[in-house]
Amino acid sequence: MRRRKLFQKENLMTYDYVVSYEQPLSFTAEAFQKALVNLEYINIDGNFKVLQFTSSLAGAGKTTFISNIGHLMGKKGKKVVVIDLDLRKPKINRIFKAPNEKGLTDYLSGKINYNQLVKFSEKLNMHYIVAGERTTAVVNVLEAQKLKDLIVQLRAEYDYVLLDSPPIIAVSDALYISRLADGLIFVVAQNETKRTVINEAVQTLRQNKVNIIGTVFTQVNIKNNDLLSYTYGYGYGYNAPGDDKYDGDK
Amino acid sequence: MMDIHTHILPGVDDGVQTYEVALEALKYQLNSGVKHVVLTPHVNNVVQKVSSKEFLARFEALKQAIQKDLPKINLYLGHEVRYQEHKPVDYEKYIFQGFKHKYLLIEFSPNSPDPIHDVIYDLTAKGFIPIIAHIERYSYLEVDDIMRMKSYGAIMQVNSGAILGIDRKPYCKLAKRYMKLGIVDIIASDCHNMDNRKPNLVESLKKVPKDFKMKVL
Repeated sequence: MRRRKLFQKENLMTYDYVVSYEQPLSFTAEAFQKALVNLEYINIDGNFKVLQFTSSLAGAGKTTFISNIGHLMGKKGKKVVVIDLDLRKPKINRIFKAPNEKGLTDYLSGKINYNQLVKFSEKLNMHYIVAGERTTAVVNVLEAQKLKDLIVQLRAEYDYVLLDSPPIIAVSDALYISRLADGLIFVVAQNETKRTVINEAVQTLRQNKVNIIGTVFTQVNIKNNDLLSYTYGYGYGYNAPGDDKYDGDK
Repeated sequence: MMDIHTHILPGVDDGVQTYEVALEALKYQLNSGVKHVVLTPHVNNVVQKVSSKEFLARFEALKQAIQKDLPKINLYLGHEVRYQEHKPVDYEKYIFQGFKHKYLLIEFSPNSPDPIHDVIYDLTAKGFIPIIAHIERYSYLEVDDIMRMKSYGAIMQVNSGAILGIDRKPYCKLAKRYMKLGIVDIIASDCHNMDNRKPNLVESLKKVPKDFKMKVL
């Protein structure tokens, strides 16, 4: 019973409330800003253009994090596109209050062209691609050559390509998506996930030789936390790819 | 009073089959105090017998005939669209005719869980006002989801048969619960015939909580 709850949890509340847009001077927005600074620091050579965001289980805050970080990148004058690759439970359209139509699956099946696919949000100053019509052949979509070509095209056109992906433990999609991305950012929510579950997820990623460029700690309770009570609610960590002691051949 | 969910348009689905029964049903409605009736034949459903392109012509014919026999009643044409995954439907064609907003009566599968929440979100994002037909039939739907869909602007409809207790038992139970929680906006008869699924909207209104107020479209 408990396990079922663990897998069914889904954050449905307020995707269209982007805190770094609504309250740009709040602590939380500042924390997102900080995460962006860290991200730009590791990306100083421009190696990590296509970034994947994932977590161990649903409801960690992937989509919220993407919307905020994408908005802040757009605010800085960067050209950002967000792609919804969570084809099972698509949520990116909710950030922009848009219907989930004319999306990625429609493009891959040839119903719409590239210009119809990429949409622009004036409010948040970022481009986005919704998931589109529901499909059961999720893995086929994620392995399609046309999707790879699309990523190549977007890579040339945009400064950042952010990929929203499903959680790792529940489905295997995130591993397919990781082949499209340059690096992966792992989202961990406070008091939501068990430590063993996170370890399991990270181990799965390491076995598949995924480049985890950092972890984000979300949903931090600022009030009850001495360490983080100073100014920010979102932390950001960074593992250098070189001194990775877990990265052995197991 | 308005009944927004009826299958009185004769001979197009599993509802009323002949003009005589349709006239009888509308007379019953008028006698009980329902002056506005929306006819909502099934669309995108296996019980549909006639192409939806013919609905308008049939509706006009019925309206003219009714105008002679029962001039006091007002008829509107709507549709009850069945949601089917992997089968895209042009919802624009199936909205209620003659209303200010784009109302769309939509039904889902009572057995296999449909992504009702996502569908309703998409419809509201496209500018429709979805009316979820007989919400008491979806036992897999959670109250939190219903509250969220209501916050987007969706309208919840319950069948009068479930409130009167003549529908299946689990439906009646769930309808009662939803009425108690106050999440029901509209009661409609969903009448199919004059035997076991009568247009008994007004009778059911005597059995609802006192603070229930029906939404006017």
